[in-house]
Amino acid sequence: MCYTCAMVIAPLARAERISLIDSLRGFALLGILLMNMPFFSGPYLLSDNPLILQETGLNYWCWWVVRVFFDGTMRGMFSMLFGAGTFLLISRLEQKNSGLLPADIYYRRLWWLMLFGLIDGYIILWPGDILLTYGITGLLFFPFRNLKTRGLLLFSAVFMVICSIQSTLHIQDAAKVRKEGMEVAARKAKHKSITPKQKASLETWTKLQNEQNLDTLRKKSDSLGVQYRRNDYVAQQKEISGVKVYLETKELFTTWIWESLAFFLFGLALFKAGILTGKKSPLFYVVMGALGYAVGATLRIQSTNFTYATAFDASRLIELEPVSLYQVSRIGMTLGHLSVLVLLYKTGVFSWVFKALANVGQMAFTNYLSQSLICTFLFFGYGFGLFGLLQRYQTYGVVVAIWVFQLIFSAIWMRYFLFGPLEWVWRSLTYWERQPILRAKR
Amino acid sequence: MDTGWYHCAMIIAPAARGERISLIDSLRGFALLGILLMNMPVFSIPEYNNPLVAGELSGANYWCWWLVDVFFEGSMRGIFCMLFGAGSFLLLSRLTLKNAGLLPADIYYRRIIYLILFGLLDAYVFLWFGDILFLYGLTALLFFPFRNVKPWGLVAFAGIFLTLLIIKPTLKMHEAAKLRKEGTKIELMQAKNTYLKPEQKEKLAEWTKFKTSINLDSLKKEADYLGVKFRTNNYFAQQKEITRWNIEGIAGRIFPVGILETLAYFFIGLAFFKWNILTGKRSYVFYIICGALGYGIGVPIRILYVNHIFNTGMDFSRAAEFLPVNMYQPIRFLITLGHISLVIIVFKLGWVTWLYKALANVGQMAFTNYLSQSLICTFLFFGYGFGLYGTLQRYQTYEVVAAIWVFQVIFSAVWMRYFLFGPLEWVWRSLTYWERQPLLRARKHPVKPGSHLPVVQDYTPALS
Repeated sequence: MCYTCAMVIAPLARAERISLIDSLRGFALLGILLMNMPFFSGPYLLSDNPLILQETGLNYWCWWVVRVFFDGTMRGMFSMLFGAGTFLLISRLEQKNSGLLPADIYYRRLWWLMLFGLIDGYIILWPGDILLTYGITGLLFFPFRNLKTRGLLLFSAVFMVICSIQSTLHIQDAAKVRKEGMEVAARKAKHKSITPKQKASLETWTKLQNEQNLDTLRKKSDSLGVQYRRNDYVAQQKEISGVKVYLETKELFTTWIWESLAFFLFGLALFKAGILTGKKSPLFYVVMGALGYAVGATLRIQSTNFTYATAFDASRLIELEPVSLYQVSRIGMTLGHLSVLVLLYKTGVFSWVFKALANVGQMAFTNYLSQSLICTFLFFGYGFGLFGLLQRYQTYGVVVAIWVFQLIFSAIWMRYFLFGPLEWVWRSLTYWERQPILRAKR
Repeated sequence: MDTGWYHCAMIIAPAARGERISLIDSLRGFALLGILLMNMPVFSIPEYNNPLVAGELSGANYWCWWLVDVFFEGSMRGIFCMLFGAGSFLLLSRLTLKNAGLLPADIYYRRIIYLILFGLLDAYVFLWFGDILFLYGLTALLFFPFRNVKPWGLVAFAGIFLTLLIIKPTLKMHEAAKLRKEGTKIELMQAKNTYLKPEQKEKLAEWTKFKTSINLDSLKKEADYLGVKFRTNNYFAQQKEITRWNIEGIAGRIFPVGILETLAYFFIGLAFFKWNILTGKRSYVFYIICGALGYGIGVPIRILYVNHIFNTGMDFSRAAEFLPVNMYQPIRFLITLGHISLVIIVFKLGWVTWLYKALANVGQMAFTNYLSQSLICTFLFFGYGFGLYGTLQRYQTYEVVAAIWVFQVIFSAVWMRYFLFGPLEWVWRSLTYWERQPLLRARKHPVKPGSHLPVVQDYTPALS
């Protein structure tokens, strides 16, 4: 029944798009590759720990800059835009259609998104896929869309607190393991008797130390590297499926959904307040940016340097942050980036850059999936097998190459077509009818 | 666009009692009580589905296990899911008739979000690690855009999902059989002191590990250990333990199997509702045929399989010797069909109406009753309550089941006499509409004929 109605409902026309939002999305989409690249290009253990390979110089600074300025912020911005975009989509559909049809279209869209997420994860073999998470979070997001700005901020805060509580518990658990373990070790050194319970704490502590031991990590990474370079597609598929099932169950339900929902809601709040659309005064963005960076960068630089100095010892994080401030620093940095981008947009000086980014943003779905395809093929054994062979700074050379490619490809494509190729497939599937794709000649 | 959704609650009313279809309530009550048959051993016995661990080779304990495994395993959950699918459709149809725009979808999804929260409460606070509310909530999020699909389309989708669920365990079964074959061969080689290649050694280790996993002595030890732990744990220790189980359950049960299976049964239930099967409108002949097919094929195969697996010492690597295809899902469907037909035939005959009325009361407050089963059982069996975990024999746990049934039937009958909704149904509704709902029944609740929308009894597939 629903499918026949597709005739009367049209996907949003290009003119309705808000260009700044497209540019922001394009920026976030390209930026995401900064964090994802180390996960594509080498063993995951190395991605956030430059000590294992004793990386110095350019490699160290690549790690430091990405960790301080970009980690979590591009994903954050992308999620915020997803929340705002969803609201826009449903509002438009509501103006054009009556009854429950907008909800049907919305949920059909999400079904396809989740299927694309499964393809990204289990066929293209990108273990860090975000589409499935967005799909599931989108299922929950719908009834929140009409909340006022304040309500949205409140719920967003609640979900962020839930995430932060979990990270805090991790920090405290690890610290407790250390404290108890060291006490028992001291008793043992003095040849005092230890109870079975104390013995167990000592074992847990030893295990944690071994897990964090740089040599152990290096050996593990090396063998993982050999394996990923050698695996043919079938073997690699099996390997990644194992990783994914873990990530997509435990991590997805305990962290990712909450985190994404928090940022969907936060993005919608900012959209409704006119902040995301650039409607506020330049002064507003200057103040927001300054505050965001002040809080975010301070926390980030501290935590990055501290983690490095303590050799990534999870049990010592408590000395810096008894309560996890990751989400706080993340929001700060994200708002900072957002402010700078909006201010630059408002000056109008870089309009060609924003135009180029808007093209990338309009076909964000295509570009996201092609990043997965390009990178897995470049690094895994069934493709070029470069996994674990490039230095960190070299992988950022690959990032720049992909950026250039995607900027050019998107510009050309959007000149001739109404939608990105996969956007068109997604739309056609959602409306269960072939959608127009060619742009009319002016 | 800032229309706060809570303000709209004024103009939308929850389903009034007069609109309820009694047969569906009775079926739901039946399934709800029946579910406890499978859940009880999970609540109360370590290694609940392996009667060999406690040496239950004959007598009351054996027969309790056998009867439940043959006749009830999977089918009560099946009926419950089917009714959930049909119920969701009914709810949305009612809401659509009364409200314009997207409001019905909003109400539906708010309801589901609260259901998910109640599921989390059930699993992480009441500590019921077999909770289904969370799973139903997740599945219901996905269900919405399928509600208007025609019955055959729904059945086709369900067929695809169930096929996937047949393929997966079939492959596993054959993998296990292969492991047995190769493992025993290598064992023979080892006995003859033949040189073993490294990959053969690996295989042997895998096979030994599998054998340990079904070894009765090690299972007994594990069960004893678990029994002591669950009996002595205080609430916090138990909470930590069960949280781990729950998260493993998400990874092992809910995500790879549960969602597909539940969605399939939501679809089948909705198709059966649209075909007027669940409403009891079809002829006697129709139900007799369904019942005969369901029981006639389902029960014999299930009996043969249950006996086979029992005789092999619950050895999964020998499951493929019975039939090369894993029959769990098809058999489960057939027996579910049999139960539904039987319940409806007796309903149509007008026999034991008092029983159907009693079951309808239970079914109308199914949500309350489900959560109270969790609360009663965890408190009865876990260490922070009466700590009976692992101390009762299987047949004794079924006496507890009977006691809970009697309690729930009486409690539901008394409660529904005075109130419009079950207590937790009322909380759920009030949360969904974000407004205190009426609860007390007016004396002699007047039901004017034709005053309620829609006349669901006359539902025809044309509506789809």
